[in-house]
Amino acid sequence: MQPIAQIFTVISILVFFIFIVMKIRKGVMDYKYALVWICLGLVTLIFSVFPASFAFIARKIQIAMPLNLLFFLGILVCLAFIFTLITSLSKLKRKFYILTQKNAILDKTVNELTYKIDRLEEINGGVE
Amino acid sequence: MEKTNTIKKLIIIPAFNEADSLCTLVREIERVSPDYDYIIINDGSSDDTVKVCEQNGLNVITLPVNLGIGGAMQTGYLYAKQRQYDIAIQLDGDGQHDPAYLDTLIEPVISGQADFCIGSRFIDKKGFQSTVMRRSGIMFLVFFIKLVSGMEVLDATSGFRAANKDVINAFCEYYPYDYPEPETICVLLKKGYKVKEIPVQMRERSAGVSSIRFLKSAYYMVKVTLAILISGIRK
Repeated sequence: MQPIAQIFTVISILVFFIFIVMKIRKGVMDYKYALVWICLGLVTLIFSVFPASFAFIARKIQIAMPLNLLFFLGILVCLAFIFTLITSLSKLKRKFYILTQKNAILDKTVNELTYKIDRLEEINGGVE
Repeated sequence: MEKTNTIKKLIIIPAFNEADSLCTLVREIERVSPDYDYIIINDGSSDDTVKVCEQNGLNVITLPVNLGIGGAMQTGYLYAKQRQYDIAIQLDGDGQHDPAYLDTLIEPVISGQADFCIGSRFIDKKGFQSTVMRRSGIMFLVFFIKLVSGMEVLDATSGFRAANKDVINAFCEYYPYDYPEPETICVLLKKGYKVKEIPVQMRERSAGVSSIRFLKSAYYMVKVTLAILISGIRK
């Protein structure tokens, strides 16, 4: 890798780190997810500082060009992320349904109680 | 007969944009079967369902957002559990199901013959029989249900069904979200509940459109078949 390209990638990753830290400070992201992004950043940082290590791994698993390994890993990570997102979306949906249902039933109960209280007050007011 | 009257029975009417038929339906229930309570689950309707219910003093739970038929029905079962009903009956809000059959439908559940009883239009083949396309779709599902659960339920998509307390509790735990009817049969059979089918006559829907539209039918078939097959291996 050319030195300028290397400096460019390292700086991009550092900017990415700053961005993640800012997001965590603002409380936008759970630590659980932040951790994944930080790990991902660390791995890419190591490979951009020592590009030879990446080429070495590619050779070891008999992939002709390191770039192919990079694309393969990149797509794999993306798929893993999408899978995690859909799983947590389904979990959230279940929770959202339960909340909506309980809320609607509570609303109904409150309405009935309010109606009964109003009636009672009417009767008591009439006696006085 | 006296015993029947002490049993608390709730009719759950899921309704999505069916303001036109709801009032007629409830008045019919009150006339034909006054010993049944009913609850309308207004599934976030965008028409004036809320207004119609308020004006006519109908007993309604309004879901703040649209959850779909499964989420709406489960709300009904949760309500039935909370108010300690012995039997919960699902009856669609579009006027397809005739309240005159209520007693026949719950009879096997009361006598303990079944935990869950489905009103089927295909046993006696009387009344509204639906289109050829839809009937063949249902036959296809019937085949898969038999494959997974070993029981032949002729009208697998019927939404006219009665559940006892155990089944109400089971439905509170788990109820499929979309297109739940065929899947619930498999889930119940797998859990060892007794399911029975009795002949009823259905009417053509009096208002509204079926929630299963032409373009959606392919997706419906694939999704339900998958759900049936998965219910066979589900924990």
